[in-house]
Amino acid sequence: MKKFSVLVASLAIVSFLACSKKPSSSDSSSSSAKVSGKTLVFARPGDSVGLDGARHEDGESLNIATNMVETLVRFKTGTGEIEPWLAKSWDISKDAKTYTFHLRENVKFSDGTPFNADAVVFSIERQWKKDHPAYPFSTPYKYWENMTMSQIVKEIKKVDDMTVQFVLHKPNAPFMANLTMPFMTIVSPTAVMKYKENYDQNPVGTGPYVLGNWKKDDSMELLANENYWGEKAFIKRVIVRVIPDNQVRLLELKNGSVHIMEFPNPSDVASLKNDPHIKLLQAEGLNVGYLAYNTTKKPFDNVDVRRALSIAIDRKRLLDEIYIGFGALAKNLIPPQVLGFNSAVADLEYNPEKAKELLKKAGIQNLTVDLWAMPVARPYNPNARKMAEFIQADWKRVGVDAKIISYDWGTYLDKIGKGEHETVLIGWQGDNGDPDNFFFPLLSKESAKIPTQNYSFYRDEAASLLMRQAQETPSPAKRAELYKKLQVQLAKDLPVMNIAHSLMIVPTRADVEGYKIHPIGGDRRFAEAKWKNN
Amino acid sequence: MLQRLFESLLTLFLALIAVFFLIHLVPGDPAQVMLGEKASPEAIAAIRTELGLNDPLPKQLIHFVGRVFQGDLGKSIRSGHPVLEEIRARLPATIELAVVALIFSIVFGVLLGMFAARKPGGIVDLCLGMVSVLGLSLPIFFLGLLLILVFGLHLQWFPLSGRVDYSVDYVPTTGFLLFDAIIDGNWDLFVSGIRHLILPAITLATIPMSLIARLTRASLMECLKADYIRTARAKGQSEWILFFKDALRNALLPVVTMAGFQFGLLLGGAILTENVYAWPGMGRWIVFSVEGRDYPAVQGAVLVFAAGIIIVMTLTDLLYRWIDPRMRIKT
Repeated sequence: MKKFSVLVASLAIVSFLACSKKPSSSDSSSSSAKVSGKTLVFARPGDSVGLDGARHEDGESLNIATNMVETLVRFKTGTGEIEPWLAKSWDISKDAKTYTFHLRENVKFSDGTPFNADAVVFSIERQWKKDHPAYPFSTPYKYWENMTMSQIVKEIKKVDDMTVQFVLHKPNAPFMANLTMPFMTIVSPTAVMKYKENYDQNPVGTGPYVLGNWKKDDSMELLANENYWGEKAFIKRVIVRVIPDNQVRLLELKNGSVHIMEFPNPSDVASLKNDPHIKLLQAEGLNVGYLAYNTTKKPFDNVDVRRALSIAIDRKRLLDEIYIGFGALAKNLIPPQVLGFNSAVADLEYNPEKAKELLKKAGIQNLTVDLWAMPVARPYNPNARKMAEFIQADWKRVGVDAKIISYDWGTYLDKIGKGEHETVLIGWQGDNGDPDNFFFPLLSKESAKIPTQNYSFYRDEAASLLMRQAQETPSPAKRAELYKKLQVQLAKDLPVMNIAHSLMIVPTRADVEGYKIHPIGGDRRFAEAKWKNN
Repeated sequence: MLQRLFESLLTLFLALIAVFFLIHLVPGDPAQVMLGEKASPEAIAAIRTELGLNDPLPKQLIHFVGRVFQGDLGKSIRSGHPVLEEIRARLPATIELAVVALIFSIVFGVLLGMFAARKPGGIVDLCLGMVSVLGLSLPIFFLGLLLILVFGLHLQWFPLSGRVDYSVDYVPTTGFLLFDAIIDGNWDLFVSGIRHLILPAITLATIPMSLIARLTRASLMECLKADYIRTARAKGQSEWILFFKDALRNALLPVVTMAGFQFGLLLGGAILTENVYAWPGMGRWIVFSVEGRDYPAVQGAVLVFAAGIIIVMTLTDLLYRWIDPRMRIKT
């Protein structure tokens, strides 16, 4: 009898727990925040490592941090156009080496301290000058080093309280794009000196949100900054949840307990198209997957051979089979949203017959090609080994035998960096949205040195000259023209065959408005989101 | 007893050495693998220096063991924070899940096994057969999704994922959510914590519960056939006392050992369960660290898991000796 009572009691507890208050997505307030209005719940697969753009380099950290900390200039949402932000305007000297920024007045950090020239100088020098008091707190400053900033910036000066000057070693137009990157966010010097090594867990900036309760690997609370200098965020509380499983994240979205989710499974997207409660946002990613021909090896030094091999590949099929709806054919090395994208460049045709003719013209018979395929999935190529098999089959049709070669990722990078390959599947994830960030490391004469990232060892003098000129030209319009010319030449020379830019698809609940995918930088700008009918 | 403790320490030391070699099993240059395709030669060199990969292997080993004994597991490559700090923030969530799952599996496993053994071939026995086959063969991620779909999305009984509702305040004191809730007298937090815990704990408990149930059934049936039971029955002992006092107590001896073994299995299963249920514990952190090729973090995590399993196994052994007097006589 006693046991029976225990059983009944246990069942009663379970049913009580099951029936007790179900949290609804429209919870109007939180006990912690006392914030009015509906909370926006955003779900992503992983947590931020830390919220200091100078210290961390993973997307989950950087793209959320920019809600709390801001840069001097930024890209207009969804475009490659740079707009004033914490700097209200800027002048560039005639020799294009001195950039003077006029800072926005009456802006405060969320800890109440003033935003001024001292804060800008502090934010830059803490990652640069080894004798700076804040330097040891967050070293290594990965992005500052990766973007070779010390070789670009010679000096940073406070002109007056609201004016800051950057002096460069030599003209460098991509510098402005670098300023939009999260490592160039302006942080509260007081907060950095207070939190020291743990500043990345307690970020303090001028952004539209401030950090609330952050439960590691679970959720992060963002609360609207009521003293924000610009238009205040409409949604006062955002919960950024970590849900690693793509399907569970999707179920939470369907359940209404999540309003925006990232990285759905390609196979699930089709089912979402017919769901009236869900909207799909879409944009091309800042990346490119491509096939590089090692032009230092015969017969890949012959442009006819490179063209023949390129047009023998059915790229549309690669898109369907490998990217499964999550890719867009790459016409150029840069994605369309980047400055200077040349839409007039003709698409690479798929023409096996012409490929055979070109090979014949080049006097090639019984060609055997080493085709290197990455062992890991990358954003720009989800399955390089499978892609290599499709390419192998396509080449077989024009009489070319491909031998697929793959190593573990470390060895692969090491070997292709030394140029051991003949053809290689690889790609690039853009850093700052500037065309130079794609062209110069991947296709300039200067970067074709071992260990290289110019895997085609393309050393064309005219192309490199265009890249250097574009680097030194501050005018965006003039730069765009130079890059357009460059793309025409690359389409002719074909040192690489561009395959695809990955496509970002973000499903949201239908009542979320104003939220956009930001394809350059990938910031999640929650301050732009609103609820429908509000 | 002392010998057992010495054995445990030796095993732990061997695990430590195995963990050290983990990083050296990476094909190619671990620094290059960690940093990826954009790594500059300077950055690779810096990581090599930071991890001491340029030193001769014996020196690296001595240095590593020395650091571990000082409680220093190194710095995570991804976060730059001490690995021990990262583990401390996540371990309580995993322990909480594993312990609740272990309790689930022991309680329900033993109950199921008992009822099945009482009437072999009866309905409960048949059900146990089915449940244990299903429990052992269903992959965790599939079972997890199934439970989320049925009890979360359709019936709306339990939350789909996470550890606590975002509408409930929770600032960790010890990190053990239920414990913190009790200390603070925060009833909302406690209920929210339990509601979030049930589905993952059931998912994680399924395999050990099936094993424990089958073992209990087999062991109990064996005991019920023993001579001392027959003698007791002949002397007129009541069936209830026979079953619960005389047979069950003996039958549970192997179950205790089994439960100890299960703890290791639960920690392994936690990696998958935490991933499905968005449970902010060690398992998910290991997955992220492996994906991010953060070797110091992976080393730290493996070491902590190994130490956890060794400690539990030692405790099980000691408990076993305490329960079964014959073991004490042998030693």
